[in-house]
Amino acid sequence: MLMTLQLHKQKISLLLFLLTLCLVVTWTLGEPKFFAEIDWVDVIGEGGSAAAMALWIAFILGSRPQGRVTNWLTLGLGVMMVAFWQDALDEFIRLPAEQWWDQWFESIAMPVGILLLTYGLFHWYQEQLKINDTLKKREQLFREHTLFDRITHLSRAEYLNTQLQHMGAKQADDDMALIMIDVAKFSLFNRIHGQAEGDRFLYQLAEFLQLNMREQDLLTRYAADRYAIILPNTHLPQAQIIAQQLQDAVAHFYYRLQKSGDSYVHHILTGTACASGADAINLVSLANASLADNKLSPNVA
Amino acid sequence: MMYRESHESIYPAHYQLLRLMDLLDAQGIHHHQYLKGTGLFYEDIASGHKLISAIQFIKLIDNAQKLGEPSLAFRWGHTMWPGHYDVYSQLLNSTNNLAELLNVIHGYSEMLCPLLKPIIVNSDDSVFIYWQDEIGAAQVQRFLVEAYSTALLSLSHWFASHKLSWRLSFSHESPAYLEEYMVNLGQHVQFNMGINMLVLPRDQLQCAWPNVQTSDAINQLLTRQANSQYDVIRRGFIGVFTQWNQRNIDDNPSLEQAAMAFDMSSATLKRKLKVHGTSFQKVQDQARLSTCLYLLHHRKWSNQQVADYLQFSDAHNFRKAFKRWCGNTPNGMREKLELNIRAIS
Repeated sequence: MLMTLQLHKQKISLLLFLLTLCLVVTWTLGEPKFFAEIDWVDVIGEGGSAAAMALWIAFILGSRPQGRVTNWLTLGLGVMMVAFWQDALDEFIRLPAEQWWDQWFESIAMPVGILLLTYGLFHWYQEQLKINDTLKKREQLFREHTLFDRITHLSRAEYLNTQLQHMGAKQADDDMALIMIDVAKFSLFNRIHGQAEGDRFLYQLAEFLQLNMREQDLLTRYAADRYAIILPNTHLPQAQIIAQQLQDAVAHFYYRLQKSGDSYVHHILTGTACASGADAINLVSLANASLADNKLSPNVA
Repeated sequence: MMYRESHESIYPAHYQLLRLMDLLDAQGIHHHQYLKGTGLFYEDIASGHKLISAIQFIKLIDNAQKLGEPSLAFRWGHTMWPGHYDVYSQLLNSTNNLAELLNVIHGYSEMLCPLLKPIIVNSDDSVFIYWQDEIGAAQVQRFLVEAYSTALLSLSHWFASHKLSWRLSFSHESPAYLEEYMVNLGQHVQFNMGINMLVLPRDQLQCAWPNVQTSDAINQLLTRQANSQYDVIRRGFIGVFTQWNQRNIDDNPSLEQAAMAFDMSSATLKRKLKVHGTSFQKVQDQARLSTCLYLLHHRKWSNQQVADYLQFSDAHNFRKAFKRWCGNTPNGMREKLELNIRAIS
């Protein structure tokens, strides 16, 4: 988060400058209230809101790259924050009645801030639609960021199970297929080239598999070197053809070792299963069993 | 009786833990987090000179199991052996078959798989290897069992150049991350079995490794070197105490009798067991359970015979006690294990 915040130094400096300016101007023009005059409920409400705005800005700047949407969101939240801050200062310092701008702040700045934020959110929404499009083969129906896998950036097995439940509940009659994919002799590869190289390969294989998948299919990482692909509205023969095509494709994928740049060709094994309706939940064990059978057959290298 | 307690420093910190820390680092966890409460600094461990105690080892593993991904123990296991553990790793590398490999791991367990000891039992057709808590590692047992079982499978498959037909039983329940077991340990995994155990047909023990080059002279030299370092390490208190309970199981010893055998008061024994995260009852139950499994499965005794041997008043009481130890009846357990064994052969 700190690294990302570095990108937004100027915005943060401007905000701090504005907050200080408010404090200095109010302090110079007004006079402090007596302790008994202070309304603590207002202080907590307005000061707390200002603090919450600061936190929201930190989350947004800490997680987003520079760009138009970030600017609008920050601008909206920034104006709201300054307005709350000025409100909070009022509770401690009394401004003379001729300081018209203080009132202006309270009634105008807030709606303006909200307008700016709304505009920002609208663009964020459009940006999100674009991003969803690129994530399509990685997630469907619902998003849960805690279920993303660190190494392949795919969803994990937990997500797979939930997704199967969702789909099972939704498409009562349609066939659904699942392909389990295992990397042949992956532990040997790890032994020779190290786990870091193995992890790097798993990530690249995930990317490669997605290039060779249909639009509607979903790739997840099951565990270790095993992936699972959900294929909605797909019959077994069709899924088996796709599985075979994936095997053929991977056999022509020249993975480059990080240090030497030498190529290494991996082979994958697949297991396929098909079910409809509520049986979808058994797909995982069926596909795993099919994979185990295929591993035993002598024609695999 | 000679034994070692959990505060004595015997484990080279840079053996297994250095690799575990690599994996935690890769996950983006700062070493302040995973070293918290261990009294260790990163530099200590990387220096290659620091010896640590079982308490410190357990604390670090406990931090790792709380902070790490579910795959952590398995990833650690895959790179555990042969490892970089001086003469002990060389010994692993100079084995000719699985029987020799198991002997090395059993013989130098504190340096190769700290805190747990693999106990090897042979029956007519199978070899059974179960993980015995040596020094009070109950709170991290599942993590260690996952890692060490993965290590044994991974190394044996590598040396044998093909997959052996391992079957695994675990005392804990089926976890939420069952997929890690399926992919790392295979389909033949059972839970709630009261014991953490690996089973293999005996004929696979003696199959010569295809690619290992070794000589008797080198082996003897390595063994001498290893023994000269390892002989000063005493067995852990829980390991020794469990073994004593197993040997005297047909006398059904009381806490007082056990305390007398270990030359201490009952109160001291109780306190010592508590310090090691267990109790007299738990150790005795575990000792009885492993003895039962041995008698039921290897010697093919009936429930009544085992009940008599363990001095239960009748088979009904025996069945009740057995269920308390592992959540299964003797017959249920027999069926599950029989299935396990039959599926292999």
